[in-house]
Amino acid sequence: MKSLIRNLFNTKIGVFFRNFFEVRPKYFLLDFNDSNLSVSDAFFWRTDSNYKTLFKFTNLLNFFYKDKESKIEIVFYDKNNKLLKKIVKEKILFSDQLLIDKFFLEGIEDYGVFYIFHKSEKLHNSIIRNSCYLGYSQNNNLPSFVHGNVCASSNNFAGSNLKFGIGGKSFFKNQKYIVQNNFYNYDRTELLIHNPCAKKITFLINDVNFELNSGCSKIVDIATKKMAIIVSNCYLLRPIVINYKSDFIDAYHG
Amino acid sequence: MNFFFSFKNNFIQSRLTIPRFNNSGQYQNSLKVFEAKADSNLWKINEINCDFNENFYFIDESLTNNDSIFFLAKEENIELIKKNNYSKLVCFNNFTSTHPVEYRSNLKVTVFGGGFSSYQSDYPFSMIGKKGSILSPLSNLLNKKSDKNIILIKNIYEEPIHEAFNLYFVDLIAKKVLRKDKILTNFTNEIIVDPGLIEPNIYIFTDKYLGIPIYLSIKSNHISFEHTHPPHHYILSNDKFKKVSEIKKEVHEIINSQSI
Repeated sequence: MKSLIRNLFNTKIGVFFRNFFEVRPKYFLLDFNDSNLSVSDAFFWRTDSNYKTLFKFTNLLNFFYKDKESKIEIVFYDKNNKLLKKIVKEKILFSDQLLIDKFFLEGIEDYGVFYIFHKSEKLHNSIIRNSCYLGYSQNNNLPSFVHGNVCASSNNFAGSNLKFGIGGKSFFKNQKYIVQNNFYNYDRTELLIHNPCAKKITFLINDVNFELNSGCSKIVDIATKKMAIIVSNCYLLRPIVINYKSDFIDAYHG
Repeated sequence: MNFFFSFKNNFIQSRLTIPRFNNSGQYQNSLKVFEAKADSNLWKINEINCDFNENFYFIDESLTNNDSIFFLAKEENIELIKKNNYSKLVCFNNFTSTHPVEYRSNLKVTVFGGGFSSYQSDYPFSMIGKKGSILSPLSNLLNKKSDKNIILIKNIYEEPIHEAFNLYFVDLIAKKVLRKDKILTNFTNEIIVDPGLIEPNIYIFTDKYLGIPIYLSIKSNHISFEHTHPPHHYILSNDKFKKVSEIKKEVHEIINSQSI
């Protein structure tokens, strides 16, 4: 009987009701019984305000599974979730890097997210997650690095089952997330927010209302507010924080 | 439960900000900040008299060093470690045991007269009783062209000992150990990295204890400060520990094949 309930609890409809009514919600809508799956965090790129974004990543299939023929696909979206470009990297032994600037994005000076998927013709019967490192460089200064922090999409190793919006969502806008740092003494602070859920989310940041469609992103300037209090219907609306003071920036996951 | 830590050297200022609330906004105002330090095979525990406001405790570098760790507790929680005669760290309380997002402090470093960088930092209680090895890539968070590249390795072990263990720089393609350092348990170890070692095929590896590797890079007074994840973070399927253990075994074999 217990195992029947557990099985029901983990069906698609079961997870929907768990998340809807906040009963042992699933933060990420991933099926861990699946295999040959590449999960990607949503990586926030920006080329606005004289920013460049440096992405440093590891070929996880080669590092862990010795799959030298594996490929890496990186897919770029703008802040409104419109596909911008797709690139494929091959023959990467361990790690590589990619500079995302306005030239790479054909003159676009804006922001959005990208996803990285590992592809292979081999079956490794595994699920891997890429949450590697983003460096934000303003005015050509040393990038301030931060690792990926929220799973948002998946694809199988064959590249034929792309899914977005794997972030869990509640029916109620009552999920509070407070960044555990204070922003005292900074000139200003920005929060880089992405909607990892399949549906539109609504949220408050320090009592100001926002909404974001699935896959869309927003940079919210909270000026000199000393804290960031986020209330939403997304179970894990976790921003990247950028603090500014004088000519210096500090980027970190909130 | 999570511990917090800071860092001190002669050209970087550090500041640790410990929140008095968890990510979902629950407060426990009766908790105070305590410091633990390994000394003569005992844990010395002191309450810290630091600046605070209703939301945070602030620990500046005058209150820290590379030995100290910090935690939130009530005075009566300290009785738990008295019971074992201060010989082993204990879980003082569960306020900082949060899921799925860890309860974190902010560890910020500032270059004198220059930039600043921070990361949301913690050292989980679940790590302090375990032995094992760190495997972490050098090139993902360091920069060949920087003025300075530094790795901090923070270890917290449950017993109050400063035991030396080995840190290796290993070239995974050439299968060679390029450098070996001695580092200490219960310490924030600072390792200056030569730019020549910052290559995608070069990883750091420890042979006995776990820890958190944190990478610090400075160029023209700008600074970047971030940690790497342990390798098993990148595999979500059940084979995660098997795969990581296979890779660590390979690195062990490289080390064992050479007399360093």
